[in-house]
Amino acid sequence: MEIKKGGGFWRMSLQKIFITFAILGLLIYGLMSFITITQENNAVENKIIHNDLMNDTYGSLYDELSDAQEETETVIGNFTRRSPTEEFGELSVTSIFSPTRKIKTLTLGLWNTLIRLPLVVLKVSPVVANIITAILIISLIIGMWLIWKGVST
Amino acid sequence: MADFYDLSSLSANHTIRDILSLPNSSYPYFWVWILGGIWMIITLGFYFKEKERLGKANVLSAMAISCFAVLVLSLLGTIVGFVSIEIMIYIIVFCFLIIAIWFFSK
Repeated sequence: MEIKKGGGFWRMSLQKIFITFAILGLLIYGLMSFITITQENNAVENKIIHNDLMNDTYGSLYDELSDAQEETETVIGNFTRRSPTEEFGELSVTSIFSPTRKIKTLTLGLWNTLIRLPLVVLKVSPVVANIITAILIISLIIGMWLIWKGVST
Repeated sequence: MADFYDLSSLSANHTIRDILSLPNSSYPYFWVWILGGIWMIITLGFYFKEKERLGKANVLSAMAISCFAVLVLSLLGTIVGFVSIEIMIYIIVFCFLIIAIWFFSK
């Protein structure tokens, strides 16, 4: 795949931004999980997850992924307990979860934690916050179009 | 005459948590300044140590690594009880911003 100089610069930079954003999201989710689980294990009275702001941004993501983890463990348990008397060739497929819904939840949860949480804590005006969000979304759409355009040519 | 802190809030069976929380009764952000000072000390220590060893240093790297340490210390503070949740949220946002800027600057 040829990489054009002008278009190549934009494509490689945007790919790097996407990868960096994903790694950063995982790191921040890991840190927040560490904080949340440590507070739960040590019976802290005012947990950070009880704060309204944290609950709106990070709490829903944490609950959703905890439910997904429980569903996965249930399915693995059912799968390993399956009796060997099944007929040969029978394919048993169990849908663990809807990948689309989980990816949407993960994306929105990370967006809330990384973008919306600092804007609210820093008391940025809602108008300014919405403008920043709109600019980021438009940049994301343009970036994805540039990547697609680069591949097709 | 010198003014002394009011120690009447300490109960007879005070624990380490009560003693550590005592400065907050006179100034609510006492431990926040302590954490900020620790962050500054670790940042400057990393920065100048790296500059002495390699000749050049990245201040963002030093700040980001210090943020990890401050996050753990503030978490311990919430467990012991001398850091409130509202302060913890400000610390979390500040540290995450610095870590995010460090990631995107690499």
